[in-house]
Amino acid sequence: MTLARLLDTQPDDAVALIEDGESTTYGELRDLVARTRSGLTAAGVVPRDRVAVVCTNTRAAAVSVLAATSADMIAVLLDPNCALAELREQVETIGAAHVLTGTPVDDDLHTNISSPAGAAVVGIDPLPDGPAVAAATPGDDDLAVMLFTSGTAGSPKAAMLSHRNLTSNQEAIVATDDSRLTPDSVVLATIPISHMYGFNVSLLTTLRVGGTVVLTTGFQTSTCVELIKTHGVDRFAGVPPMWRALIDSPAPDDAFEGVIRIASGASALHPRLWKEFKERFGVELQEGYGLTETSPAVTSHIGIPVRAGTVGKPVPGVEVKVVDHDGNAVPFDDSGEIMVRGPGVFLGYWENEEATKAVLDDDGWLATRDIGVFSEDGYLALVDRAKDLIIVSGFNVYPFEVETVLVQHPKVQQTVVIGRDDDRRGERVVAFVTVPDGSEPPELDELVDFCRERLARYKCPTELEIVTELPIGTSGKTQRRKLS
Amino acid sequence: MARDTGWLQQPMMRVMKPLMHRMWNLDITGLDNIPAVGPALLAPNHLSFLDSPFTMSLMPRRTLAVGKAEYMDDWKTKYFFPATGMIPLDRSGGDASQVALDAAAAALKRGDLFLIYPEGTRTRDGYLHKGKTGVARLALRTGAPIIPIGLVGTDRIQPPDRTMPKFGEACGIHVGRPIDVSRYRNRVDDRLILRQITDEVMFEIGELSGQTYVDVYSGEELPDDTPPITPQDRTAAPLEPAPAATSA
Repeated sequence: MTLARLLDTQPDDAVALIEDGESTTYGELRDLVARTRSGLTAAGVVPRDRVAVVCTNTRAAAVSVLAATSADMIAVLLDPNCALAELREQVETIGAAHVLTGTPVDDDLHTNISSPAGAAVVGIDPLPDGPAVAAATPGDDDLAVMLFTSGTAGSPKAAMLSHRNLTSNQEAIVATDDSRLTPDSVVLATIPISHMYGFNVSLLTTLRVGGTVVLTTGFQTSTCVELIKTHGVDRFAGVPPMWRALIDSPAPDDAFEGVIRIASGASALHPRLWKEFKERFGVELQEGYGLTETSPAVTSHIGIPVRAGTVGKPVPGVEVKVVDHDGNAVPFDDSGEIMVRGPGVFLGYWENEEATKAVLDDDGWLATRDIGVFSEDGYLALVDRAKDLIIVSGFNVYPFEVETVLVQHPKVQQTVVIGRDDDRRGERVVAFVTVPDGSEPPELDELVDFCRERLARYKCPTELEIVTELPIGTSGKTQRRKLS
Repeated sequence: MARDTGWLQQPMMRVMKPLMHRMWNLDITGLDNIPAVGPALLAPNHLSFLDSPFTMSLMPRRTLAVGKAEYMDDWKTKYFFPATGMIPLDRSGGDASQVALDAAAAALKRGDLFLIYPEGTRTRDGYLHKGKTGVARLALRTGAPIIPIGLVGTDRIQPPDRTMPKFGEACGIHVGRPIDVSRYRNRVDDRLILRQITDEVMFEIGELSGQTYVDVYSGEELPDDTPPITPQDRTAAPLEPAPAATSA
């Protein structure tokens, strides 16, 4: 199946999208997409062209992507929260001739992207219009979508996803029996659709089954709670900073009473936060694991009992193994790099063979650069990013483990732990800490004493920095490199 | 009725200890970390065939360990080894490591000291290797503390290729502070608990022995980026917080 066939079977009068209280039925959506296809053609876009779409969570952006992919164009999803210089670099990297954008950033974009990148800016508010035309018939393995990978250092890399990559992952998500998405499902798209989860899970998978997507841009606790109540939202996904904000908000304890499933991803969910959320709202967050390069779902808690501190089990059709530095599978309960293989694994990075070869082997295994551990009964737990690993005297220190202990200290609100070069031991553990309002900042010694009761000596911080806030990226990931 | 395993150990050691001190220059530290009563797991690095006899002989009370069942087939060792503390390990009955762990658990339940090498086998390259998780499993199962021990120089007394020890050499047996694993039971996340305990033990052994640690099991190929062995000053100051905290 291709994305061009995604909207073929849903009833005309069922609600597909809701934005600012305004509903769009599947009949209207099909018509809009068909007209936008010809509008894009009129604007000069031809099949196999790369079309950059500045993706806010709006109907216009969703329609633009659906129109482009069903016209056999390649949609490149851009995050509007990126700095303009970064957006321009991304447009240049993929050599897009056209950039589709709505308000409110189009004026700046026009100036910054059209020169020197040379791309033509096409407004999508209103959408480019024309007589409705039929969808094209791209092949399953044709390149459909590109997304830039988040939170990494170095030059931007665009992950290439085929129609099959995306639709196979949709199938994996709806294949499980429990918590199955149905035409009655109402999903709140809290995660930006410029990110793989927001795009392929929240938006496309919901549309595929004929459910309703409630579009909202930017996360505010009051808006989130209100939209859930108003539209009868029964599932949504988010990232750990959202859960913290909701716990601390005045939202009523029964705010998520009708919600079947709340998924958590992007960065590791501290068990304490999981527990606090459950105590506050009576809901067990379901942590999952995925990457842009895997379209994205690798593991989830769909259909299995929730186990805090784990990301569940592999979704159907996706193989996962945990290996040592020689590529051999490690025993249960031992840590190693997570490798993923399956139909959702991407085609590679756009015009970057070196980066592709670094992560994708000849047998189709993707090296995730994430460290994980499998339990004997098949639950995967994330330990940390391999690149975040701190090595003290040859011993691995996973920042997440130290952070999990530090946040239990009453004088610590949030924390990020990094490694810094150390003459004697290779690296040392440095903790960045934010303090709850009105609290005295902790002293290093008291944090070390606290950690010593819970951690091996070499894992305890030897340096402390008190900060007012921690750098969190648009996808909810901590930007550790800004601290080093 | 058969005598207890290890019955001969302490009487024999009363004779042997003064002799050992005459034959070798022994530097023994930290013996007060061995509890006077109750079970404990003794976890040393493994350099030489002599590690077991040296460690077991110099402990203040009976210490047991497992050994190959083949020793029971030889009249020279059949009675002597069990009498000095070896529990024969029958590898024919399936999972040998499980049999060893069960034997160890039984010894610990009786309140004995039990010697076990976290690396599993002798190091052939001088590095301190990644620990196997059996020690941690035993500690969690029995509640016994783990006492890290750093052995230094036993490989000089009897290198792997020699059948007889060299006299007059120096060696060190450095006993570290007990690691109480009960605190791990309170950990919210148990995802890596066995590995965490094992690594903590290996770190402490490394501090005591001064060996360079590598995160691969003994016998496996070393990664290309393995640092060269750099003997460390074993008595260097332990890992401590930086002298002054910084704020931003």
